[in-house]
Amino acid sequence: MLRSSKRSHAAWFRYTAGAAAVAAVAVSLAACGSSSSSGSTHKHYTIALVPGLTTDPFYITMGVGAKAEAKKLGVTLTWQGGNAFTAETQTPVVNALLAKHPDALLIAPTDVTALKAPIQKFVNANIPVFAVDTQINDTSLLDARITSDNIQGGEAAAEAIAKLAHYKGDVADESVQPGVSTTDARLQGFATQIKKYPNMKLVSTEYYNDNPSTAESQVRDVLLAHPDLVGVFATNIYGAQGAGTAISSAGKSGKVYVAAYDADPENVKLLKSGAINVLVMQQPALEGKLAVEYAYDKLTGKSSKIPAFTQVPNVIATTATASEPSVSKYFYKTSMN
Amino acid sequence: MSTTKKPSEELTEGDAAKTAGAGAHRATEATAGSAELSYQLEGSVPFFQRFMSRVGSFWTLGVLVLIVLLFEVLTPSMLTKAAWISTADYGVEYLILAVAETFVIITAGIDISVGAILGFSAMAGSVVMQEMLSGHNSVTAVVLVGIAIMLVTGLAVGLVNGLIISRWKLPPMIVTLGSMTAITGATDVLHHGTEITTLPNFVSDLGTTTLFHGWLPLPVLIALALTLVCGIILARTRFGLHTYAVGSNEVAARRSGIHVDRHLVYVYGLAGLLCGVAGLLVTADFSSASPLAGYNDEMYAIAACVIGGASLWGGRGTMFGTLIGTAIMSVLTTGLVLINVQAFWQQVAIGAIVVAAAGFDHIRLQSGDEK
Repeated sequence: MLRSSKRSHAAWFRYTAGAAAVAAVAVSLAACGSSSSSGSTHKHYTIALVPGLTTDPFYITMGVGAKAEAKKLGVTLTWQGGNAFTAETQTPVVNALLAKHPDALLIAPTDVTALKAPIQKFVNANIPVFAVDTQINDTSLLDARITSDNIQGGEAAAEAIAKLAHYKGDVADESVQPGVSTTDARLQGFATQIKKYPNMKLVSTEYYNDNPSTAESQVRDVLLAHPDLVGVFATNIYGAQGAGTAISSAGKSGKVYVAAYDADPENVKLLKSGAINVLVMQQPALEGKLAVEYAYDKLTGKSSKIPAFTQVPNVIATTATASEPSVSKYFYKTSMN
Repeated sequence: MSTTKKPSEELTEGDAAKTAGAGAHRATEATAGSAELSYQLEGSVPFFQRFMSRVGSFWTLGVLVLIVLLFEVLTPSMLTKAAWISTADYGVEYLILAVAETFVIITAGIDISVGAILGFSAMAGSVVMQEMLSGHNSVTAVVLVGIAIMLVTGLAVGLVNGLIISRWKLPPMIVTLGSMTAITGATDVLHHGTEITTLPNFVSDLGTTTLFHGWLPLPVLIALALTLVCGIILARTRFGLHTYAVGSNEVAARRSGIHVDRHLVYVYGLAGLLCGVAGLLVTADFSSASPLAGYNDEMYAIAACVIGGASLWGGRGTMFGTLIGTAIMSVLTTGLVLINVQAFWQQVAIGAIVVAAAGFDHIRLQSGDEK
């Protein structure tokens, strides 16, 4: 009895296993479908946008901006990338896209060196390549570069903190680690702007290696050493979290202002709660829009209109302005739809 | 990041369960195990059992063909040169690691440190090359030393794994989990967790050189050649025979005079050496050594073996099957991009196929029981 039931079980399992595998493939092939949309009557262009990773609000917002512009111009935009910010996950996507031979490639390279070879293949196939937000070392392969103005972002953060603190007192920096070009530029802008205020001084620059508790203890020490501290500028969310915690546990909320970078949903939540007072918001949607626009210009023979290097300015949100539509429209999106 | 980590945790649990149950399983199925051993040694097998062990490879080959055809129907660009190059390039790293993993899995072991060894050996070789480049050394010397260090580092870590597993009788799962963690940390120590981009041009040339009018990238040729050599070692040499014997029935293997402990050291050492080769090719592919290189690769390597018909109970598996398993994963990656589906669906599909393949393996075990 045991035996026969075992046999029928095995037979059942065999069919199910085979069917499951085939179904799995079929489902994944059918899943999602395509995001193509056709429009214009003349030559139809397809532009591929490869973000640094597909699950990050910054890049999703970039995709939303690019898609809207593509719809306006009547071109098809594909949006595909890896699910981690690494060359290992991005490269296979870029290589595979070559087989589809898009008319232009818009890419946020995840590595300045490793993405050179895949991009070179597009250049060899006469497909123009535009770098969005990040770039590669060999800029000669790129038709144009679009990125955020990080120096302006740092300056804007300094200006916002100074205004809140009535242009008086000490301020401190919290950054990820030295040698990162984007965050170093933000620090530089912040320091330059603070120097313009005679009653303000930058007293400390610390690095917290993306660890909020490191940032917290550093800010706690800075608070002890500098009782006149009025502001902390953190170059990403972890620094802002650590600074916020240190300041509230020291009972300095409302006296020491925190400025942070990027309008991710968590940051926006902290901004609205008052744990962060200032947010420097990049404009990924505008970056994506410009990239599509430049690619379209290139394809329609208007190359002369394309600047080789574009820096997109940042926008400031404060706790007071967070609910105004003119500000909240810059908050990053979490879905392409 | 967290989404990519999840499968590894799940498989970890599954394997822990497997390791725990392994002893009991072996004891109850000792007769089946020795039947398997005699098959390996004498080649005399009942027709049905032989059919069932062969049909595994046909099944996966069929799935591969089916997937390629499905993609070709859905998109005209699947059977193109660019799609082939993309698929082949993607497969290089996973194929070599899966070949390494195949040897280990056939011994009824598991090596989850393969990705970490890849990253560590690549970083070790690259650190030395970077240092040597800043001195007055000939480029040839720099390249040779760099490659040698990558291979020796991989081999050394593999040998340590094998020694600990065989001498201390610890579960391979735990030992390689430990070495994976330790080596990942050591990789960051080597260059402060940052990547190395100052490498001799030869390294990037190795990654970009192609043969036959661009149809065959050099790294692909190297990976396929290694697979062939390892396939011959596994199927046609005493080393391969002992590998099957150790995994089929360790006690029987010991009694028939095989130095099981020594053989395990060799197998893990060989796996480590292959990881070193993969480290070299990944460094060449990206013209840089990244501390993230090899991250999560063990999942794909094990998946390729299982899809290819290797049994986690040991004693079963072929290099041909592993090649097909890797090809299925690579084709899925390229194909899903071509039909404009987000890359994470690839993980969903691979996961489903792995479970289906493991289920198929389970049936084959049962059929063997009932013969």
